[in-house]
Amino acid sequence: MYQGKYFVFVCCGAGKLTSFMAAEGLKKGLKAIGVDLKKVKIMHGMMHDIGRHEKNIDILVSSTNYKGIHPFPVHNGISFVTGDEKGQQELIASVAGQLREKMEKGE
Amino acid sequence: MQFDERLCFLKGEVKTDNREALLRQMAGRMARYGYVKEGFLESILRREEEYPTGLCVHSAQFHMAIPHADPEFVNTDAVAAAVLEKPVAFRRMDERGQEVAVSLVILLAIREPGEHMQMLAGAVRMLQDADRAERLMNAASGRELMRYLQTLREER
Repeated sequence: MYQGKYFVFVCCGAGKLTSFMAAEGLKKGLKAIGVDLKKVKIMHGMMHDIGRHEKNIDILVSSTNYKGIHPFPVHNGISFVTGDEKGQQELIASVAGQLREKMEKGE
Repeated sequence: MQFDERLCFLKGEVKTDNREALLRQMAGRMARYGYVKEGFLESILRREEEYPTGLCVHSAQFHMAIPHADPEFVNTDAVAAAVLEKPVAFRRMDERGQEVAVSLVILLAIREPGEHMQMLAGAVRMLQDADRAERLMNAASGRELMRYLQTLREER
């Protein structure tokens, strides 16, 4: 959680370009399938900063190669960069499912 | 962001198949026209080692790379583009240890990423459309190539 919201951290190397693309795509996609974004904080940044956010992250999406192991789910968001629409829809559905589960459990 | 036709390398213009030599040529052009500072090339190469930018574009015939550097080496946001007759191997962004042969390199001098993001998303879509990809790859002038990139920035 981050400032009372479910925290989805989207990361890449520089934290500027591909993570930005993936974060924007994810926001749009989640909104489109009715996820309440008022309860969700989607932030993009550097892979390097995962450690700093570790305690707060609920879901991690990496738009570049990342194989770290964490107590929260880790997704690959490259589909937003390579234009793989099927991959994007799968990711959106999967993140939405995890967010909804958390919201239902009130975690 | 500047779309300067002098920063274009048309098909056939680049003679090397070496990634570093290619980036050196492109970064050199950006430096010559004042878009970037000393250290830009080194920053690009270092970043490419650590976080590769080769993109295997989904269901496309041509693939691309999007090298970029730390903002501190940038004077003015700009883009350089190279269309390669003979693809150059870049390490893949998403699969460690794998390479992709790219035919389009979009080198970015970025301080603010918003506009670039739209342009890159547009470039991916253009490469996915076989007819438009052909047009982009066969641009007859730097002006034409830059015009494509500029239009991509505006499409949504």
